[in-house]
Amino acid sequence: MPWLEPFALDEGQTATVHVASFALQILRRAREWRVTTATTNDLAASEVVLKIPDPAPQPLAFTQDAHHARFAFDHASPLQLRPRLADRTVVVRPADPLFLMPGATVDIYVSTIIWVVLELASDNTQLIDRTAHRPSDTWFGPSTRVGELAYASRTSARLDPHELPHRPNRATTRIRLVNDSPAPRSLERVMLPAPELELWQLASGMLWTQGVELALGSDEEAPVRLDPGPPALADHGEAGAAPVRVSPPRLLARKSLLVRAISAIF
Amino acid sequence: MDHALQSVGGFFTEQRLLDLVRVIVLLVVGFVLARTVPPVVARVVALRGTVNQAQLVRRLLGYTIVVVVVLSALTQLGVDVGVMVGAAGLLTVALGFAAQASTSNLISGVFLMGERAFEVGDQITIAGYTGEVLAIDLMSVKLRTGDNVFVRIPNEMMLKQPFSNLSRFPIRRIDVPLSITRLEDFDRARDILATFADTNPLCLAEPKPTVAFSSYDKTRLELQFSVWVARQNYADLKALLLDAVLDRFRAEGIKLPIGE
Repeated sequence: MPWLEPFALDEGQTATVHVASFALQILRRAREWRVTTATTNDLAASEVVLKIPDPAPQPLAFTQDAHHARFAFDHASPLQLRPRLADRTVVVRPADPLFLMPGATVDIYVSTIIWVVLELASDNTQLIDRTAHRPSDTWFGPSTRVGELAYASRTSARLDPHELPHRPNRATTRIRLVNDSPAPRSLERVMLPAPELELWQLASGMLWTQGVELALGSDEEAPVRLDPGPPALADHGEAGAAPVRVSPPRLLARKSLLVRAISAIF
Repeated sequence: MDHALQSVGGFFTEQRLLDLVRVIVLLVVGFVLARTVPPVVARVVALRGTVNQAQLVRRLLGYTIVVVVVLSALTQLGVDVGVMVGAAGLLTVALGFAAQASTSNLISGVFLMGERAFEVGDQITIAGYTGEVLAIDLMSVKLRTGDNVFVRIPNEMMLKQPFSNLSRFPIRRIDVPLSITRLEDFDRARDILATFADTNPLCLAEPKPTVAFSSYDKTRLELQFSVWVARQNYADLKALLLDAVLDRFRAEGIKLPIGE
């Protein structure tokens, strides 16, 4: 996997990295790095390709929005890639309505797209922070006046982690739903506080976040609780090497997180 | 000649010179204070209050220091300030009648500040001008329009007319009226609009975009396409929306009532 492995390029060398449909090319010149990021034509791509250095660099075949940037330096230092979660809350909607029976505690597994950060290996100075498919904006809150701007995402809300497809550009989160109320509760949307979550890499290379627990009471408010530490073995089921933390949260957890709503009303 | 010199010399006694130096020192120190103290106080106010409150405190404090310094300098020179204040009172009454417009603006300004319908930095629309609020003063509100023109709106006008604050809420809706000429194009037009809203990341997924059929006559069907967008992306999305939609309509052969 490409994450957190420092690499250096000599003058004139190019590195090409593909993480599913996310493509990144770095050309090292005498006093600069030229970095191109793009979403490739092959949208169904699901593997990671690392060519560091790339013996026969080809220009990226991209669909749209290729992003170019140049970084000038005094002396080149090694670079590394780091996966990160979204920079805003992600509102996840199950593709089909999901009802939670009274008293039930159910774990659902949702995955969200990751951002790729290119940074200096020495002091983590960030060069770029981009994603292949920027999710659509959405609004999460009780009214058009109160709430927050979030990303919208759809999920199949799988109940079995073994059914999850292995996708290197997505991170999986276990959301534990507890229905305390005496009636079935429909789960229309779940707010995933992505900027407040840590990202971990399993031995197999899969990315998981720490677990999240939501208590669906009888009112609209649902306390959100973040599990401390790495994702539980019971969730990802991968024995072997312990998960490695690859990214700290973007934000420190907000105090108000405990009383955030899970279902906005429109 | 000698006589004149003597009387000038007589005027500048030691005591008078000392007074003059004192007055000059007082004025210099006073004006330095008037320039340095208000910004510091304003910064402290800005930590707790709004930019507008900080600006107001800064101005009032500045004027107060200047008035106090000038009055004490006059006292130092032996001028009877009491008489001047009395005269100023009379003058105020006279000026008040003469300057009704200014007074009205002044009072409107106080109300406007109390109401806090907008703040410095907000985008507002009034009397055909849309711009960013640069300052809310006692007499007028200053705007900078999109084409970088400075506009001064008297406070009285702000109080009497309805105005819109475009920055108050975090999300906004863009309404695009569209007309098509054939009934059979309606479903396809609706699909194109829905796909546009679905695939453009700037269009909010919620509140949901809508395509409503608003009216019709013998020649055309009127539709209204409404999408929600984050306030900061409003101009960007609006600019590309019509362009993209018209392109798709043309590609799909949907007839618009243009040039008919």
